[in-house]
Amino acid sequence: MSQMTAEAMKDDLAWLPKGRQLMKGNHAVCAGAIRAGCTAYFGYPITPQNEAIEYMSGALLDVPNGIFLQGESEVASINMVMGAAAAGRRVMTSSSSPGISLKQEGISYIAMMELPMLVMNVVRCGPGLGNIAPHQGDYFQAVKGGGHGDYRLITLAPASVHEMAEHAHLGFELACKWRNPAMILTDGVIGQMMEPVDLDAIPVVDWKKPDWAMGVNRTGRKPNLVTSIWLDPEDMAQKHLEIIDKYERLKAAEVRFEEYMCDDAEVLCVAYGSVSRAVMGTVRKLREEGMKIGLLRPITLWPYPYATLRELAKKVKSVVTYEMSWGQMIEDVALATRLNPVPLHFVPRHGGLTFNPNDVETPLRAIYANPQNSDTLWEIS
Amino acid sequence: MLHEMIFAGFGGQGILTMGQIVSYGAVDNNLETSWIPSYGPESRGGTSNCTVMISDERIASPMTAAPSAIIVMNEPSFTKFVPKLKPGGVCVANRDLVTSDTDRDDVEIIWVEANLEAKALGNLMTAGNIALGALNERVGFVADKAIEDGLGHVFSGKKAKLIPLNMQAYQLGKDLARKG
Repeated sequence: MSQMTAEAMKDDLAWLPKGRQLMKGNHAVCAGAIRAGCTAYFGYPITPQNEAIEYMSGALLDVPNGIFLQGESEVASINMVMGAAAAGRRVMTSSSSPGISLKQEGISYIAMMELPMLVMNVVRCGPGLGNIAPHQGDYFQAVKGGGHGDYRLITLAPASVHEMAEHAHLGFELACKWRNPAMILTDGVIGQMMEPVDLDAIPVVDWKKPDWAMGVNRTGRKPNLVTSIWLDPEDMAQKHLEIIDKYERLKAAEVRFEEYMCDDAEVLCVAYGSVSRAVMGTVRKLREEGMKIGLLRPITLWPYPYATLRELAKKVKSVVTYEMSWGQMIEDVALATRLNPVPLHFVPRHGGLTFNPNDVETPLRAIYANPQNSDTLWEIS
Repeated sequence: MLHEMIFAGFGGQGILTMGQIVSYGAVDNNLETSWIPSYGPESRGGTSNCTVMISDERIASPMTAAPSAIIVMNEPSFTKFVPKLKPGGVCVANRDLVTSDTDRDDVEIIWVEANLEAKALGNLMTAGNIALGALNERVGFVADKAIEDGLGHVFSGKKAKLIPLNMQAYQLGKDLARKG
């Protein structure tokens, strides 16, 4: 990284992360981002994502035109991100739950300014200071709009360290294609874990400043305007309609998910991120016993795979949602299945406790035996 | 093939590094692997531990409630993890720091005087690799070459001089397990 040998300096691309490596998730996301053309990072330390800021502080020294700056706070950092995004950089920040809360005002501004940027939230257990254990309690904040106003965040939920790198690239591609902020929503399991990453599989992007970006206007071109203030309600309404239309097109084009053994499933599990790993292991195990169980893993949490879930739910006797929260994504599962009611089950883990395979398997066996299993049955209330 | 392993001891015994040696070695030898540490309050006092998975196919859960093999380097780790071991599982326990015993007869406990043996080798820090050798001798989760590869990642640059001693410790662990 920063301590390059004289020989490495001769290689123009020595700074490019490459090869098949064993990496922490928090490092992989940064390596993927740099391959995707990220040249700027602004952030403020918080556990459990400090490996990200650590990695960027070294790696960006060697990236051509790289900028790394530790802001004096999360608020300062997100506003630096806003500036770099307005100037046309592929720019990234990362934090964990309380720090992400502090960034919400800036994220709302960035969404209205239609600026692309990537933010990673390595979620810890809240509310409040909570603890630093893995959790999924920031789902609503990410997918329903954590800051003020009507905006949406493109939200990606990696389930492996390799996907952390992959989603850094995907996040930038989607953010830039749609001119909208994107978030990687993950937790300490994925962030702190080490797994093999095939960095060569992550596309290398030579990012060029887009036409709409800010900068010194030497060519006499029509001035660019990037703003979040529209004082005249008529003008603002027009802008709103444009963004609403953009979101509708985005929803139609960018939904991503993984179906695992869903074809003949009688019970459908729904889980994202680290939780989906424990569920997948259990599905695999129970399939060997002949139990017909499948898993739907949303990869984009916004836009959410409502249509796929609706169709899958028509064919099953019950749907089980596993979440490390008090019950957030299950509301989207309920929305998806509202027209063809099927028993919904909710299996949570609280306080920062993670799912061990047993925590998945025991309720799943009960639900498989009885689709109306009262211990886990969930209804809108 | 899936090996679900937990390595545990107290902070400073090189437990997390031990797990990384295995995972790095697995990657170099085209196996799937995951390494996850306990972090936060759980890792303060008592036990420091990591879970290491080795497989030849995609690894589902990186965590387990019932490991197939464990290394426990101190007393709290022994009392915490031996009850969780899968029936038929293997435990390498550091006799120098574990005084209690277990009444489970459905698991195999391999007692190794890891601290004494490591001191005899001239470096207490090699105790972990003695235990690693003992476990791999019985379980065979990776080839010996993978351990050497893994040591190369963990001890790079100036620390590379520690590799031969640690390989020696690893081989000693294998010998001890073979002799029972």
